[in-house]
Amino acid sequence: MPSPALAQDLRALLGPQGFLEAHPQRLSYESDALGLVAQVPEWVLLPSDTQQAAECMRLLAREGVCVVPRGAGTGLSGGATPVAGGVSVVTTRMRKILDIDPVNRLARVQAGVVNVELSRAAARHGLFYAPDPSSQMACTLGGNVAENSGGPHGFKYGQTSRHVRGLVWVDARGEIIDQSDARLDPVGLDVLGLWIGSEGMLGLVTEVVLDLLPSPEVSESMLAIFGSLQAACEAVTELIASGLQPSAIEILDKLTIDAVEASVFAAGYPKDAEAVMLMDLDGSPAEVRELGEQLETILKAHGSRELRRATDPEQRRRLWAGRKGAYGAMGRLAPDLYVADVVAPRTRLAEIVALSTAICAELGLPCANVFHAGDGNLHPNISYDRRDADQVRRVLLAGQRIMAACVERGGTLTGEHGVGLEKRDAMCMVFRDEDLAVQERVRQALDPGRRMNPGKMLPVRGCREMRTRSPYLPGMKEYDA
Amino acid sequence: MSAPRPPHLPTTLDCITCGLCIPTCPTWQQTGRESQSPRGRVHLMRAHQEQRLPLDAVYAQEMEDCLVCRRCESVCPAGVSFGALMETTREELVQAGYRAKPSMRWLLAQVRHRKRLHWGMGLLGWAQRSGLVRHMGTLAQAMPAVPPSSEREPLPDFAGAHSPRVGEVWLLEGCVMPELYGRVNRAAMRLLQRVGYDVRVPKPRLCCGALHAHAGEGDVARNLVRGWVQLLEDVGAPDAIVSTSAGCGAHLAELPRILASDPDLARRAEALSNLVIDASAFLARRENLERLRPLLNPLPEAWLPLAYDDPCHLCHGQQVRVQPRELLDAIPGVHRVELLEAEACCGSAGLHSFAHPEAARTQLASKLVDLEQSGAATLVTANPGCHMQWETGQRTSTAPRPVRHLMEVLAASLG
Repeated sequence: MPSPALAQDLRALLGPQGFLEAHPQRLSYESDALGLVAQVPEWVLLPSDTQQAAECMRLLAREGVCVVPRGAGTGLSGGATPVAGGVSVVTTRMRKILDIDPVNRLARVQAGVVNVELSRAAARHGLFYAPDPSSQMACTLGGNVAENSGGPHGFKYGQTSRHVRGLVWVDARGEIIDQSDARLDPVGLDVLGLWIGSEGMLGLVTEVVLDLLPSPEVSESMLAIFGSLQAACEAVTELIASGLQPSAIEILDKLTIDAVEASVFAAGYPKDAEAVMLMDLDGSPAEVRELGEQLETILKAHGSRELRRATDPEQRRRLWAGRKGAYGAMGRLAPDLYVADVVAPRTRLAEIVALSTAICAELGLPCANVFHAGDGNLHPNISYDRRDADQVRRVLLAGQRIMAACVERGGTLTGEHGVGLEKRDAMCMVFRDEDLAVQERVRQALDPGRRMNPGKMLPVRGCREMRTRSPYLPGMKEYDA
Repeated sequence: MSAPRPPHLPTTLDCITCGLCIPTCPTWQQTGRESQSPRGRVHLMRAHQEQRLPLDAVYAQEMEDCLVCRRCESVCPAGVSFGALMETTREELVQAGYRAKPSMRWLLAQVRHRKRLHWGMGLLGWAQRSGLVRHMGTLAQAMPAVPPSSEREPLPDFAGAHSPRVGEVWLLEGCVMPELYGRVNRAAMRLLQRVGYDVRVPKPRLCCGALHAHAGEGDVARNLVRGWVQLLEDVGAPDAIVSTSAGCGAHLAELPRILASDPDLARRAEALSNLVIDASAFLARRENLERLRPLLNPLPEAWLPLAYDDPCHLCHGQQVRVQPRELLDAIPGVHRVELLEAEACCGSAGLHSFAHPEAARTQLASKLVDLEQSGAATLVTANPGCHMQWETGQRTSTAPRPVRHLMEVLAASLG
């Protein structure tokens, strides 16, 4: 338990707006968007810049207090769930876009800048920031770095790691590490590569330097309507095999369409469709035209009964708002939603989607599918009520089984939501103890006290041990006796 | 008379904690604090309902700071009725003894008595003209200039339609509106007459109770609704009940919801709710707009371009966004520009600008920048609170622009 003297120093440093100690204020930080796990932090700190963040961390280091970094709290894997006796350090008061350099197409932002704000600011220079997680209206760029976030357009443009050119972070001791000069990016050890996706275990990111891309000459959205989810998945497999490159390929199934169409984000998806496929095409007018024709041929061959095309920005915005609001719209079905985040080989999309639905059905759970079909990142969505303990048990089991099925068929645990608390033990499905030990050693080197976001991502017990104790856990890696 | 407690906030469960609402929230924008965001506030309401969080002064403050602008509702994919949750929460807080500041309670007590308000405003106007107001409290100093008494005359009980007559409407007079912006109500009356409606302003002139409901004074609000329901049943229903104030309109259009604890009254209030409509939405109805359009003449050149700023309780509370713009665009030769963030709150938010003048000023500051950048010569609004707030902003501006209610602009165009 941190001491009153420490509280006094932090209060003096951050002021009443930046140092929260009242119970209701702390309670509001007890979970991120994974409501299943909760822990009220001792205090919540909201520094306003790198210097203040470093000063906070130095003070916390004095008493060895554990730190959980947090952005907007939109994470779905419990990566920002506080730890008992620890504090949450939140970046939402660091929301300045520090610089946009249109010539070199670089942006320097504070970690708490909301993803969509950067795109808005960049648009004034004819540029855009490519990674666009569905929560982009709310999620922070610092959080995107920590989770290596993707989004629909990750299919063409890649995930956050492809766009980060520099970072400033504060480590557990309160040292500022400035790796933000974009010229240094290719020189020396790839520290940024190590950092991106480290889920807050290596420090607190305070500034990010990001690549901006020139806005495409023409952008068009295409909505293909299918009478079967299976057919839509098969169409994706074929159009990827044909080497076609729309910038995004998303699929929403019937349950999802119903929820979206009942919400403020109603996009005009037909309610009698079993699935819709939403695509973005961008490039030069000739490229977009040609790609459109090629897509049309394949989609029709796979039984798409109708194709809608939109070039008007307002129409496109509406089509996409439906997709991006899909997660929240599920709130209409039940109080809570579990979102799996598995990645499937794109040749086996249809098989794994059907399998997830079957796994849920067997456990008596509803399963809605909405996913980034282009990069095989599936999001089986399971609606439930966390007040029902048996439902929670079945939901977690379903999640585990879906992951195991995916891994068994050549896929993996997570595409973009991170491991956090929720998938921590499932790391043993894809890594052996020996592999995980390397990750643990890297972490130890950068945070010897293991005070940064402890208990997340890396299993706290050996995989061998877990397998021995819980042989019923599906999918755990086999070990020789 | 005390109504039974409303069912205990079951709708907090609608929130799935996706967080899409957070960046749209004015108090979050100012603080960056989760408990000052819609998701955070719903989380605390749910925690309280699960008996994990007792009511305390901090909880009360986090709830009290909310502007109830309801912008979060416009972006909530799960459809959480945030405004309704907040009203229930505040009512619970008031009942537990966490009451508004005495000055706010005093203000609330005045607005629902038309006579008291009229005398009070007269007194304030006199104090303003004599300079005495400088020695009065901050609340009095924050009030806008009170117009001369000739402009504060109540509306006539009845005004006949120009022919051809097509029907009868009631005009909601409001509380602050007749005292500060009587000209707006008279403009609306003229417009309604010209498009063919008899306009009735039935007695007694009742307050709608919106401000009371927002402040957690549910009993007062429900009593006022009873009065309204009785009035409607006594006088007989018109074709529509037209409001020039977005706040009153939004409140009256949702009566069955706020009366959930009193099913009998809720049922009777439904008829009333169904009739209430904002003046802009009413005039923009196709048949009305067709009659109005030929009557409109070009506006003075100096008024243009116009910028319309959406009152929160019109766009977020009643989903009225297109109609005011359609009406303005129907004026011959009009030039209208869009504000960057027309759906962001100006900081007025009912009594908020009086209870939290500092936060309200900060909130307005970015709107003033948007207005400046839009190049508009006139700011058009459709709600008395927003009207006051924008005028306050113009008082300190280096290039002040006139602020006009949509009805004033349209009536001016009638020639």
